Amino acid sequence: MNCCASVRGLTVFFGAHKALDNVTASFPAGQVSVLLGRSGSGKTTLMRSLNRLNECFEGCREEGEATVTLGGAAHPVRGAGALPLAELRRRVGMVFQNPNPLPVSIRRNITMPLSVVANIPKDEAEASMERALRDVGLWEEVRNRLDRPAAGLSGGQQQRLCLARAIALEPEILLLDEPTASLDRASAARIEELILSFRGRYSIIMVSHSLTQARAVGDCALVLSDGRVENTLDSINNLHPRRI
Amino acid sequence: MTCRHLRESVVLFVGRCAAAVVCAALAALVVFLGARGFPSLGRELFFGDTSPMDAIFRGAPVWDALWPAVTGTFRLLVLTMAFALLPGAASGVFLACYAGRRQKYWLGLAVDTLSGVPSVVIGLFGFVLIIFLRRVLLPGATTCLVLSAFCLATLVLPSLTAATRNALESLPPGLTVTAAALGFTHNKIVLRVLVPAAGKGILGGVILAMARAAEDTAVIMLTGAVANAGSPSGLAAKFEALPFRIYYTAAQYANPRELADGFGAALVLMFLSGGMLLIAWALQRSLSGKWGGVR
Repeated sequence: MNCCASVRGLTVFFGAHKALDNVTASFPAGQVSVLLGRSGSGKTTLMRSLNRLNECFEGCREEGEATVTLGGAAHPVRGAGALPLAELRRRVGMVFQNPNPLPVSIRRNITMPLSVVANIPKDEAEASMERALRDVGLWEEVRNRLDRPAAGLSGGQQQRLCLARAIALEPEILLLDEPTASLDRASAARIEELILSFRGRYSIIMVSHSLTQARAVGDCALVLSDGRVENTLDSINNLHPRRI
Repeated sequence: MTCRHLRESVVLFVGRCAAAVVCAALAALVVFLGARGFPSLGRELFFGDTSPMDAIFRGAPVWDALWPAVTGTFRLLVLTMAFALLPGAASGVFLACYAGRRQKYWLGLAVDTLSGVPSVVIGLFGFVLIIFLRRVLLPGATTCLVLSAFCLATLVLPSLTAATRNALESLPPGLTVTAAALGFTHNKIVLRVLVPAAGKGILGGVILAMARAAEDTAVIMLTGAVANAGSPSGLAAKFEALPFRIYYTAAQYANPRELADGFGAALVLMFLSGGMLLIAWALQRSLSGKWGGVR
């Protein structure tokens, strides 16, 4: 199995609290891997260890190894052979549970990261923005109000904008942290369609609380409980409540 | 009516009364100053016997009129902000975005202590400083425009720092995580995301600092302002300023005409502060439209 990411013996502390305990897992490339488990089981922490976002939180300490495969080569996320942090986070894109557009216009939400992080010239950034907005089906809805504040969009539109912002940076791995949790049913269905359409194009690691959603979009699953791996399910057919 | 509803009604009533008191105080001040100062507004109040064109464009000396105090105040404000803006805002950014816990505690304590120092003490500090400089380094140094600006900068520095720090710290923490997840480095998060997002609050602090610098009398009367100096010839010259002129007139007026001119000067100072607020408001709208999108 080609892996897009793997962790070995990963233990994560936040102060004295152990959020992950000696987790070993790997995620297939080009597929949708779903992380399942109760709240506080360590799903988001595991995902954040792949783009080193845990470091943004106070008191975080990590032990063990995390590796991502980018451009065909495996790179540890830290230490010798690791990519620069900004490049790692650009190539391992992330969408959060709640839509979090930057407090700028719709246009600048996508073009600013492109110019600041990827040093892409303005006209290329504009083209990338249009492509990304078309990919998430948002272009027709916002093309006439690109310079309006992104906060004026609906929740579902904001989440698609965040998805467009992530894919505009041309990541190879997409981390989706309960991307439909704060959305209504119709908006959630739209995001699920997009995830399915991205299968094969990106390696996706996704946190979900919904077994129905996991069955609908996932190829494989990892079940966590109290910071430990409870179960590894290699096939979508195994995503049954009794197995979990 | 239940007890809870009664409580809410009382709180609402008290809140409305408090808001009305603020509006009434402002209206009373404006009406009083307008009624007393407006009749004296005119060419003579600003330029005396000198032609306005000569005073403005040819630098002709103006005596017993407001023009030198207006230009002196303007120069004082520009110099003060030149001294205070960068260190004040930068220390606010450092405290909010870079400082560790201990640094935050000790630097925060220093800023809070400085903000509690009365302006007359800052003025005395400036006065002692110039005496020290005369004895040690610059025998010819005397109280002047640049010394006043330096002392006023010291006075407004803490409010600039606190406003910048508060504006940055009141941003949602998720903003930093969002930008980090996109690959922004910490410096770029601060400069490209957080500071622009906090721009409105920072600008508010700048305006408050300018207003404080424009009205303060205690500092400048000890460090360089005089009653009749004409327009300042340079940074090392003595100068006139509106707040000191108002203070001087209130204390020394000899006839009703001079008192009316004092009220006129107070009205001009109020217009100057109001004008600065309007400029800041326009700047705020323009900046937030440019950065945050057109609403």
